[in-house]
Amino acid sequence: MRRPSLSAAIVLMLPGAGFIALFLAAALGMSLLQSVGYYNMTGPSGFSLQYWGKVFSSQVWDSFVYSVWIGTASAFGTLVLAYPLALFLRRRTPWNAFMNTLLRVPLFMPALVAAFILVNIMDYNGLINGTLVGLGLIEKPVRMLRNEWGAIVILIQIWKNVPFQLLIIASVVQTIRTDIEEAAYNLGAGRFEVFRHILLPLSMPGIMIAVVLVFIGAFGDFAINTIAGPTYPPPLAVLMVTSANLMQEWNFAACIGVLIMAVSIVFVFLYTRLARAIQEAEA
Amino acid sequence: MAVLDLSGITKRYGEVTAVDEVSLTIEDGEFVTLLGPSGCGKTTILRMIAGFIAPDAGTLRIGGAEARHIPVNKRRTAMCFQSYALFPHMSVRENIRFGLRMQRLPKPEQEARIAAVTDMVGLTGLEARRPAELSGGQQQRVALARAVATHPDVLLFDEPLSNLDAKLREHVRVEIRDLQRRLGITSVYVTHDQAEALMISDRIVVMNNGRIEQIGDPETIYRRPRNAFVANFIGVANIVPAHRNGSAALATGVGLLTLPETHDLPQGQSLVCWRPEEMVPWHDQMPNRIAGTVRQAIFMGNLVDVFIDVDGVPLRAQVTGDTAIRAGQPIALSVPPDRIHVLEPN
Repeated sequence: MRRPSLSAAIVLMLPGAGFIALFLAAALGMSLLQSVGYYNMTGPSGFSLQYWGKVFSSQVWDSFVYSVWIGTASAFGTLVLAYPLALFLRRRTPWNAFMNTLLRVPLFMPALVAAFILVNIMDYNGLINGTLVGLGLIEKPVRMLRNEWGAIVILIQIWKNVPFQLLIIASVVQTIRTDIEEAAYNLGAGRFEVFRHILLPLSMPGIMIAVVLVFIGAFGDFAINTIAGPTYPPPLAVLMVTSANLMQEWNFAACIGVLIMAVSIVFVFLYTRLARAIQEAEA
Repeated sequence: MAVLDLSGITKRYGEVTAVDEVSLTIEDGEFVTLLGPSGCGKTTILRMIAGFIAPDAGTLRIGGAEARHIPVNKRRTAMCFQSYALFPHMSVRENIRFGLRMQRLPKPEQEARIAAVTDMVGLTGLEARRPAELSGGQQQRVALARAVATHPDVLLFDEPLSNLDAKLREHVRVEIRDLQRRLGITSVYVTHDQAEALMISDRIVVMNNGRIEQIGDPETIYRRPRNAFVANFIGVANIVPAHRNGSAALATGVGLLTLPETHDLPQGQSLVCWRPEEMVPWHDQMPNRIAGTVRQAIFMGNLVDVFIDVDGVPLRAQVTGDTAIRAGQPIALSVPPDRIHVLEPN
């Protein structure tokens, strides 16, 4: 077969790559410009660093810390449940097939709906508090919603993301051939050593992607935070939406948008480096 | 280095008996091949020796010690897997080091052994490569080096050559045998390739349906197969029904045949067998004349492979020297009496 010419290659790539390039690059570029005063919707446009000045205030810092916390806790909290499950569900038994199907249910539910359902259970007058009070185990309901650590937000994130991470990690874990594991046992490794030296390093690519994707989702989450998140500090995404919609501070909102994206990129970069270092350590 | 002793080993999977009361003693430093068609139980036996599966009945002793309660990682066996099972995220050096690390050997000892085995299998210079950067033959050598580096009591081979091409297979086979002889490690080798088994083994265990059909050195297995299964599984055999009726000769479909031990034979029906290459062109005074028609004669270079029809009984002869044999011609051949062998019923 003749190799396609360069011009043909460009024509073939244009619809897909062009679409992404146009909307990603343009959107990113516009956000960046808006964050330094251009494309102002409510006032005169022009270069200004006043919006970024406002970003470096204590209130935004609190929001930033909260969102990083939610992202990290959700990503690793999910991992703690999803990874053992992925290892456990490796063997293909009928029971495991059923478990797999059941575990995927949250994937088919929109985050907002999931949050509502779970809030009903954990609300001040919800199912859990009702039961505990009814049984006389506690005197008055415990406040679980809207606490500053976002406990319920993390729980909902985990509930929502376990199947998602399971899907990603399982696809990697299932490529680890059983004879490789057997070879390790045969060479004298115990269960923990097989896990530490064989299973974990070989699962790393899946774990890495799963953690990064959940972090980014939870870090910039709006839906679950609006329903179960704290009033103060406002989560970054909530702050961004209220700034734009309620306060009409579009340039400030753009700053927060840029901040969210920057953190995501830095996080991906650091995590990739860390994962590579772990893999290299074995070689 | 150890004696391996299997006694009444049985393994069932539901209704299927994969291994049926197998008893076998493998001497210290001996190279024994388990040979048989797929599903005959040979791999199951190997995996029971390694400890991946537990027998339902029987005892297994490695170096005199009952192995039942010794877990896989505490058994001093080292296995070469069919797929090599190298750790893909580790370099050649770290693959070999793995077993040594698990044995908690001091670092200098690890390095010394790695250097020794990489030199032994000819991998020096490739220590930093990952398995994916090696050819199939090189990967096989890493697997071998990784196994012998741990100084195991028993080496186990699960069809280690089946993923190599024919030429390389022969080469690596010789290497495996050489290495095993030099180190004197008791070895169990599983294969379904009879040629491989004949060339590599001290003794061959021919298996079928979870049972041992015959145990013997390669020559005995080839020349004196116990029954029709072994005769057919190892090489090509002419097998014809025979009948003894008081006389000194056996009546067969291809004529009267005399055997040296004819008078010891039981009366009645039996099967006799001989190899195609034992048949020679018949001359005056030769015993056991077999006459028939050539159906096909294939020139093979060093011999002519002749397919003969003797009154409806198909025979095969491999004749050297005579290239004038043509299809359709009559032919007279002879089998020396001591080359004819009586088979036991299956």
